[in-house]
Amino acid sequence: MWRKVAAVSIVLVLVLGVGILSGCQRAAETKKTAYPEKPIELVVPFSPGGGSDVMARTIAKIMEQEKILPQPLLVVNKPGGGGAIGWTYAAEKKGDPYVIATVSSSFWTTPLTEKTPVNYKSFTPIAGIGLDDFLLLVKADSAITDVKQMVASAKAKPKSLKMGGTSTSDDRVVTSLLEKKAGIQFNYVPFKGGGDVMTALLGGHVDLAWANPGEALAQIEAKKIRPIASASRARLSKFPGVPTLKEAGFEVVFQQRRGIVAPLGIPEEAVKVLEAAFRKLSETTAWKKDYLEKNLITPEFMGSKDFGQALEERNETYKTVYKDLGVIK
Amino acid sequence: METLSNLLHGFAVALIPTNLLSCLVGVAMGTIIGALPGIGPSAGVAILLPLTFGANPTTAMIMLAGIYYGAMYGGTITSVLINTPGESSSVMTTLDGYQMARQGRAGVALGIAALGSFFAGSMGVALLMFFSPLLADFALTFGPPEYFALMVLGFTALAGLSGTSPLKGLISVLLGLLIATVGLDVMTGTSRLTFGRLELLSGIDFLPVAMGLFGLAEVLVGVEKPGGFSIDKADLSLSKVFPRLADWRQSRWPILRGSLLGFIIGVLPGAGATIASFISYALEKRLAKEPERFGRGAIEGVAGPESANNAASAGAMVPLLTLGVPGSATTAIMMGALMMYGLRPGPLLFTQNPDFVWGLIASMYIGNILLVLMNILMIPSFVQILRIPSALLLPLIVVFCVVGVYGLQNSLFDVWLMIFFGLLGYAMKKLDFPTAPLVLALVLGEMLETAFRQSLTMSLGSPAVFLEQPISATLLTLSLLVFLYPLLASLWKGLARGTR
Amino acid sequence: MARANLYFRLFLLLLAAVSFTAARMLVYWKEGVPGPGFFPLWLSLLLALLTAVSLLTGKFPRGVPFLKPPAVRRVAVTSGLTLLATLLIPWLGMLPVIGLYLAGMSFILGGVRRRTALLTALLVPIGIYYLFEVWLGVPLPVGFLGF
Repeated sequence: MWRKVAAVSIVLVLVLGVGILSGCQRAAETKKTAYPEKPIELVVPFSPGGGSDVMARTIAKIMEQEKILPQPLLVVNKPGGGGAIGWTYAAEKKGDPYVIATVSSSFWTTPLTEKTPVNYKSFTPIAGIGLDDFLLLVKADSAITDVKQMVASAKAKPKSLKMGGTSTSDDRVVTSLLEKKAGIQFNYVPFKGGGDVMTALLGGHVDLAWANPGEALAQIEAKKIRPIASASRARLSKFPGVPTLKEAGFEVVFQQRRGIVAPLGIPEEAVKVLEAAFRKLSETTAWKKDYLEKNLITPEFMGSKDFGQALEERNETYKTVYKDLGVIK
Repeated sequence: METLSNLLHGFAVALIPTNLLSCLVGVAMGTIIGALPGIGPSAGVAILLPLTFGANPTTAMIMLAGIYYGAMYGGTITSVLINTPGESSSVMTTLDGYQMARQGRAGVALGIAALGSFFAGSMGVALLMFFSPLLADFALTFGPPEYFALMVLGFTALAGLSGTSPLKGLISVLLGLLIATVGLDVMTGTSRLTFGRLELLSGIDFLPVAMGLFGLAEVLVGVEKPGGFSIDKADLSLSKVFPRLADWRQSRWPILRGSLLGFIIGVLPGAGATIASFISYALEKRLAKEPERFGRGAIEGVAGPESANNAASAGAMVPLLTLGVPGSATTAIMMGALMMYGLRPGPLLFTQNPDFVWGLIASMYIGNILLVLMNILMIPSFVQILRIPSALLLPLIVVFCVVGVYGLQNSLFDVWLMIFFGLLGYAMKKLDFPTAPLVLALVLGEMLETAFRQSLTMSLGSPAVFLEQPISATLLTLSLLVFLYPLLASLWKGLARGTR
Repeated sequence: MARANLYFRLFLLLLAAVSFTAARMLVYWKEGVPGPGFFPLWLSLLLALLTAVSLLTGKFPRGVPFLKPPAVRRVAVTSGLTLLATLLIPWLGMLPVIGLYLAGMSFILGGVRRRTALLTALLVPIGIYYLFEVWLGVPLPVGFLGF
């Protein structure tokens, strides 16, 4: 038997040797032709079916239908590590313009809390393509009628109102901003995901919760829950009767920013092509109808430079809030 | 009456050729997905999701649902034949199903599982049809304290699984719970026990652990002897592979109990199917006249849990369709898919999209019939797998485990994890530590911890919260009784003897 | 058997010690509520305690070997080859490794006709390619060979 083992090991060692040798010789030669000359990978750092995935797949579909780019976008899901796996994968493709990635809140939060080496500075900003708003919700039969009354009762008895949320993500940030501006304190109860928060709100296990309009619409239309305010700059077109927090006297404006980034060091020309493609995308009716309207996303296009600035500002916001919360030092 | 006319309308939708075809394709793909070790229902639905783009929502959803419950059927096959569960809810099936296979009764185990699944699936759909709104309200009454109490009840059920030494069983449970804490903490978002590995941030998934502890470890046991597994091959002839009337008689009550239990627990958003399967197993063991048969090829140990997990997959559709909140990991992906098709699952789905909902429900009846036919007719060919010479079968099992685990997240790290747990599982097996408690503790650990800390957060630290709610108080009392049952029983016997 | 039992429990103790140290750095209690460190800390403590109890009270049969020598060899070779094959995946690609592994393992375990073994080693990677790459769309690792 040992002879057999030896024979197999020799074969394997030989194969291994050949592998290493040819690996060294592999040359990375690419000809200079008009970008893009092959399909572009669109990396989604989350599982299929989530918000980022829906966005990416809609983008890929419309880009192809409207022939915005000569090559298709291939959606690739790389879930895990609160997005860190996917973003690290994309950031490591330095100089490769054939990999781009979606941006959502964990893009900032995971590097801040986990000190992962890949953060917003590891990418070339391409475009900001929309804003997801936050609605403050109560159960339909709740005693809470509006923000002022809610704040008053929270002031009377600190930590008496239970706020459902998902630990370190956006709803934590907007909760914290509201607490600061109104001088109150909620009893913040974290759940695993947005679906769990909604279930807890419907069951009356928490008093308040935040949700994106797209997530909450079905429940609002069924009169199971009630929005009492939005954290947007102006009233949302879909909910004209819902005041902004600003109107209620609390200067809180916060939105989830969605966009696209590419690895560092990609050719200037590729940035221009991609930026133009996404600008064109944001102007199509298909995009407005199939994505913005359906998911109740506030349209806001930002080019590479503006988006880069927005990335940095956003990072500062998260940093300040997390420091206040004691999540980071 | 209205329900019935709605259902008739639903059948009219489901029987349109394209929908019928997509149902057939869905259940067939689901069976294959489920039968591949590694890729379970949620990964399967996620991977195959892009296939359905472009179809209309009803057709697409009929296919996805088919993949979902088809995978629940298919998961049994690998559990029974090669001791490798493809999803957490078939862990219990390996305990007796695989033993049955080694006794040459693989066909009987598969047959009973298919029949039980069919019964449970159909009953689940019927309950879903008539009682959805009621059940939805029931699901909503479960908050963190109730979930905590349910988990405690689940863990006391684990006590019956620990084999010869309760101490070893407890160590196994603790290992599982400890592994469950790895990754980002749900409550605070801080990373725990990840030792700087990015791959560990999202925690250690159940699949690499289960495939290692069960599949790979069993392969290592298999290579010890030159002949490989000792499987009684004489009984693989066609006439003996199907279950007989006596088998059915033994299984009918476990199937009925499993179905009811599974459906009710499945309605609760969370780890429904898994808890259901092992509470059902524990229940059958408690009710059995000779509990020592369990773990050595007891048919009730296959019939109960397999019915429970299929009924739970029907139950998990209740919160999705009636409330618009996902009841399980798989239905969460399906909900994302629905939104991609432009349907917004919510409380108004039944009234606004009756075609969709009733078409889907009717298709689930059709799908269940297709599945039971398919699975029973295929048993003779499935069983042939055991005829493959073990020098080929054992490496093939390793190969499918590796590819399946890799396919989960496209990550080699998961493959390494699986190999680590394979070696650990081999050691545990040789030293007589039970592995099933580790896997189940891993699956339920996060929920137990999260529910515990959430409840205390809600009550601002007061532990009274667990006893104030009627449901959680009842469940906790029940767990205490289950825990003390052996003690009480022997006390009672002693008293009875004393008075005589 | 006695040594194997001892080593395994020592391994568990080590595991418990490592998790305990890591858990010590996490917040144990915050505002009247258990923090992220609460569960890992108690779980590793309990694990250490119970392992210690089983170490002290367990009766390990002496003299009974863990495995007979030929079995040890077979198990060791199988584990070793599996580890080696996994190491090779990034270089060689998933499919070639599968072919080589199947051929090598059936050769070592013996008892299979050479033609059957080679045919399996050839056909299974092709089948897996169609099943995973083509149908399920899972990209498998590709090595220097280009497939």
